[in-house]
Amino acid sequence: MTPLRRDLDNRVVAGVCAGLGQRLGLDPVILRLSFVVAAAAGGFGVVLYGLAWLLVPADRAGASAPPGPPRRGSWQVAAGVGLLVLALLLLLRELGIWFSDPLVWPVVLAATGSTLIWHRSAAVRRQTTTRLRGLPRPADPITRGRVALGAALVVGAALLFLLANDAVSPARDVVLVLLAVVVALALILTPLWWRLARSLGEERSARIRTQERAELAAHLHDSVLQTLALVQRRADDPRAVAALARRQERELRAWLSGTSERTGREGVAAALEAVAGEVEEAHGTAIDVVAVGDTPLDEHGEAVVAAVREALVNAAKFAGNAPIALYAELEDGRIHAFVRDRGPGFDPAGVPADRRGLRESIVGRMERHGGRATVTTAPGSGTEVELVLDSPS
Amino acid sequence: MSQHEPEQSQPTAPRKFLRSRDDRVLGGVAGGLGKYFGVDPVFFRIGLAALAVLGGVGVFLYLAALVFVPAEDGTGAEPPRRSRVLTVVAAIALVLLGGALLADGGWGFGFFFGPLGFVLVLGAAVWWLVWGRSGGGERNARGTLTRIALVLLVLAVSAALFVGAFWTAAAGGGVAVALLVIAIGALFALAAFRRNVRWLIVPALAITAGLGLVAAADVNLDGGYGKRVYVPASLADVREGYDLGAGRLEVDLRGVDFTPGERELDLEVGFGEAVLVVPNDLCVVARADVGAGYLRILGWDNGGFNVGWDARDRGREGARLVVDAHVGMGALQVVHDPRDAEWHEDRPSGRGRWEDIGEDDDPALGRSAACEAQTG
Amino acid sequence: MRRVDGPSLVTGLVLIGLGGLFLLDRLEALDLRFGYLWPALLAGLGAILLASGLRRERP
Repeated sequence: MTPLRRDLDNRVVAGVCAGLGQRLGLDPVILRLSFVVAAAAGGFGVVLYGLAWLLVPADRAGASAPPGPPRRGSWQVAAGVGLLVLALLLLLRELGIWFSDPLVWPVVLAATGSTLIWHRSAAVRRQTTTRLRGLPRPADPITRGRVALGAALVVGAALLFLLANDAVSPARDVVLVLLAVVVALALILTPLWWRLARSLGEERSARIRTQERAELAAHLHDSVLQTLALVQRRADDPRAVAALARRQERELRAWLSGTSERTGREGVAAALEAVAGEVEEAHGTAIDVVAVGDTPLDEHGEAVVAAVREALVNAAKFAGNAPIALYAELEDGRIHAFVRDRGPGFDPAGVPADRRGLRESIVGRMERHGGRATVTTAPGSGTEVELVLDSPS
Repeated sequence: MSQHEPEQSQPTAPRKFLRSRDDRVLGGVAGGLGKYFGVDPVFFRIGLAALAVLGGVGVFLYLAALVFVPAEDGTGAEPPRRSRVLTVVAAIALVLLGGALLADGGWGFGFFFGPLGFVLVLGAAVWWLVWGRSGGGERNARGTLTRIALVLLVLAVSAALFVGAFWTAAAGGGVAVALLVIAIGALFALAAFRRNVRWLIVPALAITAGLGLVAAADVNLDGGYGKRVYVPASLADVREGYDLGAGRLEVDLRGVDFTPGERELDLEVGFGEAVLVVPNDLCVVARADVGAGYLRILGWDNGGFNVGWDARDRGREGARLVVDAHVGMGALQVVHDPRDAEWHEDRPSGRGRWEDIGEDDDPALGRSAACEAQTG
Repeated sequence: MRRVDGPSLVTGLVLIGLGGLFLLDRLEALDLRFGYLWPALLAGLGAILLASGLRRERP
């Protein structure tokens, strides 16, 4: 079922109406009209639109993302917690454990705003999953929206505090002076800053271009040229040639789609993709790989990759032709991977000896490196292997 | 990386809404709407006209449609995409214009907290409850209209339940309603939370809210309805207490000669207004509270929830009237002159706090001047 | 084995709690004021939202 998303391709402002129109089967123009009317009548529409902008994630057009791990409805959790806290505050107020209204409410607003600003990890994790390696995260529109709202709340809290404590006039004088100084400085410094930024930018882009060209050359040398050499040597074995060619094609494709930011080091994401490719080839099944983020490959990471390989082989062997999904979240040494298939599943109790052994090799391996593995399965509902490795520090 | 069958087919764009060229009275907006939803345009014409009369929204809506909705050009081709910037600018201009136009027309900028906003939020809540974020089924315009109708139905039923619960509880059946709420709660806890039963929570909450209001405001509808005016001519005619279920209760004591000594008077109105008019030379000490509404005791007034006044008396001799008054929801006024009790557009208000005011307030207010004379 | 369904259970408990509170008020065992009503209602809503948010939606 399609969840509601903001449609960035057909957007006028933030794609709220476009996305909503897709979802409801309505022409977005109708929804835009409604928002405009609601906005004119008291600003209500603006508030609604703002809420939708914040809470509805944007759609990466064209990405048919395979199902990720279970998502928590985080806005509901946040709203629920917020309401509970508000209820507690009101109760304390009623019981008399209170400072005074003009003091407490601005503080509450400011705290809420700060929480929004600093609470980032959830927003980062909620990013719509695509095949990415190094997609710049700070530009995530959801995060931007939250930071903006948080900042607005903090500013609003400050204003409310001043207003409620009758301190607006003296504050206004101070603010005017500050403003004048800031404007003056800006007028003076802006041209200088502009020129500096421009030249720095040019320099940087030139540097990046040379770097990219060097990397391209190096990669081509390492991979494609070597493969071509191998192909020549094995020219009489068509199957080997086909396998080599397929492998190189896949690797080149993967490399081409992930060249926006090179870490310079082999990462876990690349290793996972490689492993999936190997299993795909060996068993002839389709494996969908989605990796969010990346983290450098160390010995613990390699163990996880090996465990993933075991799980994939398992799935390929026993899941029949059902598609297999590998989903991984990687960040700062933490690896959280799911191998899921929609095959027949199995009964954990009645498992043949060799399969149980494999499970030990997955679970045991993870535990030896400080992680854990969970196998969830039942006859008729597929299998999911969850592998978690937390960062050592 | 091999692709398996995608989870859902690439969604197609919904049909475009265009202003009709053939079926037009003015700009073809109603005609276009009719064609889009598959409904007779007459309904939309009537609706727009009604909205235009009631506050001018219809006019504004029509103007907005004229600006934003492209007109059919008869060939069935897609109209060209407009510039984004232009659309945003037009939207802002319309919003400002609309805000100015509608501000006096009954919607105004208090609209944000007004009842329509409340209904919209409730409606959105019901929609989300029933169909969730991933709700299945048709995605066409007709299906959506049907859903809107269902949501409105649920809201209407819930509103009726709210009023019913309020009235029943206020009339004395509060215990029964409370037990009903508990029973519904038990049902919820035991039953499975199927999606198509989720909407029940809105009616359940409506009943709970109605009961809660009665409980918190202490609304008591025993005692009849209507307008009651009592003007006792002598002390003997003054009763111990006057009460009214809902309506307006007026007690005018100016014609009564009070003998020295303390006399108690109870006033109770469940839902409505109570006005007590007292003579200037009588020391009146009042303990009063309003569950939700407005309270005015001689020179002091306040509004809000659970507003109360409790004047400590210091008079010792002379005639004294101790008033114990309660209004569940509405207004309670103790005045020297009945004209003071009429509603004015801009009445000077006292402090605007939301809690009970007690002894730490100005003791001179809320008590008649005659009490001061007695303390000596 | 059917799992206990969080939001439904929480809604039920909230309703039972509120109903009980109002029952006590109507039975004169305690006097409920708006100052206590708002926290009760908000807390109930918050609990329901929280429960529905924590419920894992398995695709």
